Amino acid sequence: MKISGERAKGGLGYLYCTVTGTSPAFSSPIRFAVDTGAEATCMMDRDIARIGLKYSQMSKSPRQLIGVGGAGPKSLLIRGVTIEFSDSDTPDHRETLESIIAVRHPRYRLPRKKAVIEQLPSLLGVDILHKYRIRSMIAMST
Amino acid sequence: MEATIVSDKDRFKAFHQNMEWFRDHYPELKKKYADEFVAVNNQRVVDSDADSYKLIHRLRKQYGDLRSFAIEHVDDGKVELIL
Repeated sequence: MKISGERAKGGLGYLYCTVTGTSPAFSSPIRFAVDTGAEATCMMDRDIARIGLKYSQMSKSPRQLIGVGGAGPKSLLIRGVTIEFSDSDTPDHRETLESIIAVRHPRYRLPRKKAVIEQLPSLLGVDILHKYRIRSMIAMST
Repeated sequence: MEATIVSDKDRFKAFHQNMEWFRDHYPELKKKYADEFVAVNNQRVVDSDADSYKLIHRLRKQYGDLRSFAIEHVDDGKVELIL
């Protein structure tokens, strides 16, 4: 089983997936950054907004988020998640998770800080990645 | 009004094409939209804004479903991603 991705923003590795959740109910394509430093798969504010999900439809996560940017964002849960990897050598290869994290950053007033937060990609974490061996190839320009 | 039913596979294909278009046209986009978010639909830029929430709010009013849109930031070279 092999899943292929691409190198893009920041030279990071990205994978294209279709994510389906049962609570809240949705299905949408998403591009995840492959992040071996993330314990859990999470969707960032911009993807949540693009898909049209409401944080009010999600339950709070009992766990606090912490990362290189500090411990500011709130974590909520998207439950009953299926992630379908389209660029795999096994058609419609899927992984299921009880939940993934929906990250909600504070609405910063400083335009520069706000814009930086809004750039953050959704992350495919080790709750999925631990099942795979990751191989990195030559970087692209963007 | 006729409802349009889009399958997950069609939506994924459109999203992937929009993301590829963004990647392939990045040098031109960088000249015109540096430090802005651009929205790509049907493989062309349909709107842009320095504030992604304002952009998404505007797009939602105009298009409704944005799941196949690529909404990406055009880097000005001042930000480094450390995740």
